[in-house]
Amino acid sequence: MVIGRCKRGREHNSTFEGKEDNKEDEQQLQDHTAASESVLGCGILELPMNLICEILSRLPPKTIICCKCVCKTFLKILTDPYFSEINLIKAPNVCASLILQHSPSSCAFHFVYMQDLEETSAAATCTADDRPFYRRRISRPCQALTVKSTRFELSHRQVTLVGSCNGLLCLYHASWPPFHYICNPVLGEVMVLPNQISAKRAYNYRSHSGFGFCPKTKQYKVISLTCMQYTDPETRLVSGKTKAEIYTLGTESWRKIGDAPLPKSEGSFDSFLNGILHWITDGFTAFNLISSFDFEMEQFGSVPGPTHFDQEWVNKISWINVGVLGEFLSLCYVIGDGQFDVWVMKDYGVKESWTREFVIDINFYCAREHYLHQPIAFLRNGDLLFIWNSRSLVSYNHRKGTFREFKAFGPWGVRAIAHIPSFISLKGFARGGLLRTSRWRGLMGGVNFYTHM
Amino acid sequence: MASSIENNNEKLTLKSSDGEEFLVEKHVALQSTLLQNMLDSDCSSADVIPLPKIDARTLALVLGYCKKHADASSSKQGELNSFDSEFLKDMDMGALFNLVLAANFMEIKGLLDIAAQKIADTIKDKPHQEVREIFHVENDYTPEEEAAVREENRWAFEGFP
Repeated sequence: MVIGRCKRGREHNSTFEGKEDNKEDEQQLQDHTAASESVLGCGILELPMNLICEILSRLPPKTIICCKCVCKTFLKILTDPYFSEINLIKAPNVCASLILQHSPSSCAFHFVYMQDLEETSAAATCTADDRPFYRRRISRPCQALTVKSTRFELSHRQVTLVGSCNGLLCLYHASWPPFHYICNPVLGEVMVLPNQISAKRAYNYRSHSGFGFCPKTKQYKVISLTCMQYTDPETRLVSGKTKAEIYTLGTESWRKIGDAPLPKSEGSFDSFLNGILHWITDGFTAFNLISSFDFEMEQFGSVPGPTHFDQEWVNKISWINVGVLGEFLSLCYVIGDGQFDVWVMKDYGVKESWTREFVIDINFYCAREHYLHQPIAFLRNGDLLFIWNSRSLVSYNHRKGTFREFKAFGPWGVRAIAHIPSFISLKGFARGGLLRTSRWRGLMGGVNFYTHM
Repeated sequence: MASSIENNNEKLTLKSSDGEEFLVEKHVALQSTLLQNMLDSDCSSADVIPLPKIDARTLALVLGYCKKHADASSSKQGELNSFDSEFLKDMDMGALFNLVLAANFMEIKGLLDIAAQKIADTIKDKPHQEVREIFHVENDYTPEEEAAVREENRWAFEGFP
């Protein structure tokens, strides 16, 4: 049980234990003096530290940070790794949150969190009886939902969102030489990863990165897949190889781990499940649909598609994406002239366990399939959240068949990934390379963290 | 409720820190992992189980919660949810702290969750000055120290004085 574990075992809890012992003495004293009174007054500091953590870890990130100013004991609790671990378990229940980038060339990111998602899920903006969704004005976001956002800027443009894991964000900067950074936007910590080994200029190459966590070893890793492609001038056939390199946070350098199956571009969203990252294989066939990478074993693999995925069916698919719905691997695809299917794999790795969850009639709701092309995540209530028409944050409730628009952005080209804010510090991983925001600003010329609505 | 008359297999006696005894049905007591473990490890139910950390007022509340949840385990979750929110509705902060402490000691996870959540909800989105008042915490920062912590986390304080 979590609480039992809180009280035992961890070295840095020794102060916590000590405090509890004092507490017991005090309580016994009170038992004698004021037997009919409550055991405690109403000061929170009379509670043992593990219970103060239990309470504060349930707050949204903004309130937690404000609580650092309450007193020195609070600051000590809230900066302790024990707190960030407890908070990580609770955080997904506090609010749904995202990292948004307004356009691929922008250096500004928005950390958006939606606190009252559950309460407003009844507030439908469009039902089957209404006008088709695409004809609605999209400049008026749904007012029922509080979308709070914090904006942070990096000094570089051309930065791509790679992934988010336990509140840490991995970004890729496509400069020359390209590099990755990891940041925790809530704590304002940024670290730059070492240069990759095989960062050589190739004639025609694509690069894909993934970010993941190994629950057993508690290591964070970044994988980078670099595809070297060569076009034969006579036959015009494209051939190539994809080289994989991996970097473990806290180590000195990247390591080569051989050849990898090439991912289809934009073929996955929030697809990290049980320590394994998934993507749609480039040039996928019925037999080679979903590729995977196990961050702990550092091995590539594949996951079978649904049983009805024969080659004839696969040829009819105009768009496909892999993600995670609840605790299941999920496939979203567009088939025929406008049917958006969502399937989940109930029993991981078992082909026969693929089950259809829901279908969206794209022709009715969205008119054009590419309007739906950017799923972000499945929310706790099962709604599918996506970027609609490259400019607007929308969720689809399959039980009611309704869309809700949360917020419209402009201009076009909005990117987003699901992100659960956390207080996991990068300090333990940085080998002298961790930059606080203030130092970062001085060094690189501009990271600003500020809020706006 | 105040004292034990007799013990049989179905009931056990709990004693609060201030000496009050509570006769509890066994299936109600099983809501507490602590009591469950004691009963499993053959601790005789004839004995009076002392709970030195929990006063009578708090123990009565805890047992009220356990009874509702033990009796209603097969009924609808919605009914339990409305009981839970009603149960904590007008409780003052001191009572909530005692309840959290008791739920933690007796290992009643559901009660710990709702009480801790209720306390957290009272300070949600509040500036730190208000948090101090609600939690009766004295500010031990010098103005300079407080300003430094604030500056380091500037974005979170937007909109607060």
